[in-house]
Amino acid sequence: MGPLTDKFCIAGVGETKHMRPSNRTTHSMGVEAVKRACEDAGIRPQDIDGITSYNIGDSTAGTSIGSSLGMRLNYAVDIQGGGSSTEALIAHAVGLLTGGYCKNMVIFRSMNGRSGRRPGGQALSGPTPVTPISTYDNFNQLYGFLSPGQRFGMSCMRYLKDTGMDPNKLGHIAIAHRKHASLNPKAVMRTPITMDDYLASRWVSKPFRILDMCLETDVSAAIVIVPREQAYDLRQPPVYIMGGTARTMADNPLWNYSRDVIHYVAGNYGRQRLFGMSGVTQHDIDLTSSYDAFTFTTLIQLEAYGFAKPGEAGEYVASGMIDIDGRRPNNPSGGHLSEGYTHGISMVIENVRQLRHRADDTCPGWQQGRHTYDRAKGCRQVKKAEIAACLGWGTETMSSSCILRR
Amino acid sequence: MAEYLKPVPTPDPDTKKFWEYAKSHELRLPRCTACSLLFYPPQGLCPRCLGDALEWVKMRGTGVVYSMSVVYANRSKGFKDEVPYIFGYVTLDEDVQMLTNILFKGDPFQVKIGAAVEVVFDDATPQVTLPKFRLRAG
Repeated sequence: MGPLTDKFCIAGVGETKHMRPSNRTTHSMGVEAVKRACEDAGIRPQDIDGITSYNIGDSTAGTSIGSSLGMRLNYAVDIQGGGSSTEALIAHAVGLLTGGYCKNMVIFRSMNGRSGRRPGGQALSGPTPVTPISTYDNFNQLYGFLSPGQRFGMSCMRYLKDTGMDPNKLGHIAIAHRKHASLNPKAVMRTPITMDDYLASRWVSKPFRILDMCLETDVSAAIVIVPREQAYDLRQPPVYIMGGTARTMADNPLWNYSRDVIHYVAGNYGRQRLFGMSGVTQHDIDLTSSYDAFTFTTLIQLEAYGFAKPGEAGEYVASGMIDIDGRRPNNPSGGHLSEGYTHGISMVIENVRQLRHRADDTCPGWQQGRHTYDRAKGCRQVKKAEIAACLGWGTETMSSSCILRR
Repeated sequence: MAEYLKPVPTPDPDTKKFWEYAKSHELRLPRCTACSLLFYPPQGLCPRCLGDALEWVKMRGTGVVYSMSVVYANRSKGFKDEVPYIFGYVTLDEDVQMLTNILFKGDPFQVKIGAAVEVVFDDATPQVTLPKFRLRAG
């Protein structure tokens, strides 16, 4: 086991509903999520002295959330970023707690991702002007290169060309995650889909159909991190942080100066650090959460982190491996494709609940960790859930990750 | 001329020459005189050796499609009436990549990775010309 094992744990998780629209401020939602995560942990917000968050200029500062909850903070920092930020902020927490800058930490994300600023920068009320913020964006936006789907589509197209993968295999990810969402009372999209449904869905930005793409939701979610010793007095079985990576970058983040293989993504650079620090291998991982802003982002991350061999991720997802009853389920919550969109934090939260053996499904005894494992009756608990890997995605060139254990 | 609704570049000292050459229908990219790296988008120093003595080299204007997205939905001004449109990376014969539009007539799926393309200059506004690419024979 690695150097971090057992020192720090995730003690509480909580979130608002996924709403479309919320008719609420990001402040109001953030207060609710942090309060719920504290209640889940069995700790008062006033007893937490560190708060961090991430946003893309669309949210509320941690200091204002802290004020509303009566917190006297020793550390409050908001970082810029979307996907991959959660695992990076878990790394921040580990470093800050190790250094003694604060005694515990809450991390939150609050976003009106549907009714406010949407991915790609458009408001629901209509397009907002494109404001170039750097030379790089300047040279891309001119050509209508505006949204994540358009961007990641280029990597996907080249991956399909280079590997010869049947593009329909992407559909297996959409189908599996939707099945999982059908077992998740919190999920927005719960009606199961078939391959025919997938293939009949419209193109948004080829190679992506609408069912390759995540939802847009208004939501806030939070997690509480404490040192092991504090967890003894709290409510939940602790989930330990074994290791991770924090915004590992591929070479040349803007990629067009020298990158030639566009789909050799950042996870390839983080893989050895993640498993080296955690002291386990891919074979030890019982379940994964792989950032599914798109089906492809899940596919390529599973490959980059070594769960599938190069070029074989399509076979991996089509084999049933990622199904809730497969060898290594992925995103048992339904993920961003079907539960709702949080820029990654909700997938970490799901792994925490799974590792506690307390998936919040419709089993009468879930809060005590008693599950039927009967999918027909709505059980969402993964049968073997001892160690989980969270694979966060920012872009092709940016990834964060962590490995958690019960 | 119809109003141009898409974003336009804001040239700065690093990129001004690129746009001036484009306006005169020349595709020129900066090359480091120290280590010979040719790069895009333009910036004020070489991203490899950090040398700041750059020369602007004229490209042949031909290359192949490296990858692309075919955009069917875009609500932004200027683009929403143009869907489906294609943008992608073109690898120029000089072995440098540019993100650009790939123009086509008819079925967008005729544009494939590896397709041969050539530069065309789109005089978008009286001030701004954008280098774009279209399929070429052979």
